[in-house]
Amino acid sequence: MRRLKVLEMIDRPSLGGGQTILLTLARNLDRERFEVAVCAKAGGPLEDEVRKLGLSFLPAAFSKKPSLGFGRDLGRILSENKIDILHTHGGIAGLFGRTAARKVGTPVVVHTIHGIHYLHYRNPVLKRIYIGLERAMSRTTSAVVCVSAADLDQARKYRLAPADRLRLVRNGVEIVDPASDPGRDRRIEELRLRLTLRSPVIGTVARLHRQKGVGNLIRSAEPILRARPEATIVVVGGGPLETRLRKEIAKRGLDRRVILLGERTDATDLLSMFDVFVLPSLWEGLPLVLIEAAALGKPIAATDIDGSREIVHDGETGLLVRPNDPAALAGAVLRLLADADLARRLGDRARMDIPPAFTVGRMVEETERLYLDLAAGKGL
Amino acid sequence: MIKPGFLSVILVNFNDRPHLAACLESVAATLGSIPNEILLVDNASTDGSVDVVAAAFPSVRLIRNATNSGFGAANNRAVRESSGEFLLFLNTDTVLQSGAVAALLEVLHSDPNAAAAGPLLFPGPGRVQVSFGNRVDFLGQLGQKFVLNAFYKKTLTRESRIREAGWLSAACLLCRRSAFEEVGGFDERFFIYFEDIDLCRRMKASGWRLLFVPRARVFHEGGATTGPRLASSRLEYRKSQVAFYTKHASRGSLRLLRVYLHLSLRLKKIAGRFRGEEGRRLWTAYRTLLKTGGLAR
Repeated sequence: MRRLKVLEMIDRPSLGGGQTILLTLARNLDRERFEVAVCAKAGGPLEDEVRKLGLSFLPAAFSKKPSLGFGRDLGRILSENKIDILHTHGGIAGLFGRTAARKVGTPVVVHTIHGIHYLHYRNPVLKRIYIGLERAMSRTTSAVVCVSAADLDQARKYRLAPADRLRLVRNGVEIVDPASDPGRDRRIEELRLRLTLRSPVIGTVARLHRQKGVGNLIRSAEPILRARPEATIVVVGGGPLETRLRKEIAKRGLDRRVILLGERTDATDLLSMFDVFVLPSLWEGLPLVLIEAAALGKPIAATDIDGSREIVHDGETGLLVRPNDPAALAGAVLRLLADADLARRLGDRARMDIPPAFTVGRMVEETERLYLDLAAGKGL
Repeated sequence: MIKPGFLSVILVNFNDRPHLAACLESVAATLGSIPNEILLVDNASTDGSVDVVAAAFPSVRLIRNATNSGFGAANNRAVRESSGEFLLFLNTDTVLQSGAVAALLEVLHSDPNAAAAGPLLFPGPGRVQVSFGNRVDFLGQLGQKFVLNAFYKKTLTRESRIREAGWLSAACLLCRRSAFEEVGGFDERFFIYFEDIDLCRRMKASGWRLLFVPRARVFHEGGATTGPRLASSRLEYRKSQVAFYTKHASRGSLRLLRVYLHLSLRLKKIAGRFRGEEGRRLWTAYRTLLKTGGLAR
């Protein structure tokens, strides 16, 4: 049997959730059966990672503005490389990639929805337009993959794709065994000295976008700091809201108490320094960072929303609070800080229960099976 | 490992043999009992200055860059290899006056929310360089250049009050390491110029305070390594300025700067500044800068 040519496509070359999943697939798909290439905008950490894996990286000039030339470029990439399976990740790659695939007749097209973001848009017209687009695009898609059971339900409810083409492949996270990284403890100790954050450290790792609800974490800082004046709240991540959030911190007089660290390459080490991990999101697909925090045995305070609920069980592996409720968020954080036994118990259970439910092996196997089934259906 | 209370003095050298010795001697003389290390990054100098340092100042740790990686990148490299809780960034054409470093350190010790402290820089007796400022946008810079600087130059010689600033010059800058690392250090996309203002801006945005301490006094000749190549350093200055505006300033400010640069370039062209082969090369470089706008290194 010949190797199937797979193209994994995403728009931005930064390292968000979708990119991480794409990289995990690229790294782990069986190379005997699949020849994997990656297509994204050039010039980011994703490109470096792909090249490190020794896979071919095909740059494309993704942007939000559609252009005819760009569509032609994508079509050329698909036909010149004789791609058998195009797998698009996220809305923008899905839109342009699938349109190009239809033009050049790529046999198998898979699309993963990494969180159905447009269902949470405040503008009802935009929301309808995106739902309509998704439905239209799914007509020529072989399979539409959802990353959580909740997303699958939503996709069914809104009929985003014909029911027989909707699939569930839960995200899997590569967990690095701390024992295999002997320098880690020293690095973290060093990081403590380098940043001199006052403890306890309450932290999150999130893109600064409305979706992640970081504003609510800032609004929860006042009650938290009133009860625990020595605490520091740390946010790792950059994004469109950065300036606005910094202004809010200054306005509330929280300088040096709430710290926005921006985008960092040492996010995992920083996460290890947190005493409590918070995820204040308003909506999620299946948030990888929660699984990473769980793997480190962090006590978790998250919002009770679709994706997070599927990972954290309230009172067993973390605490879940109403989204968009800073007071409730502060309450949960303070409970974890005040009750060390509870924090330890939740953290330990999270470490034991959560990562095994979201393994890379399962995600890759399910994806491979999906590729092979669809390819066989096309006689490849 | 980072050592509490420890000071790392960081210098970046590029063909500045004439000033190096005086500078390093003043460092040794003023630090006194402050526990310290001195790191000097050489950006591929060709004037033998490295040999001078190696011979006369054996305690200075030499880091040799194979190519000139730019001012910010060289400093970042030294910071990675240093271990001080405090970092003193120092140009090679400075001479520390007695008590200068102690005065700066005292300020950072007494204010835990201060990220950095800068001294009064002077190029000669009774003269002052304005090495701090508040606003950095087109009108702010214009105002500082034509109005404030004249005022500061008159008043600063007599002043000892510590004032809060929007930016401080890295010709001599004492920095708290945690603040420096928190904001991610110098942005290496700036080759030279504006990397210090950019660093300060990011520290400010993170809620840190920046303090100008006129009690600490440092002689600074200025332009020692850039002077001999004046025309090309002016170009580097403009490159960094456009990059800085692209990164930080409002769109209006950037537009004003571009209009200003277009006009002044035209005038200089008419005045015959871009004649000859070298002139034509500069002219194309300026044109490309204005077309592409800065940060694309």
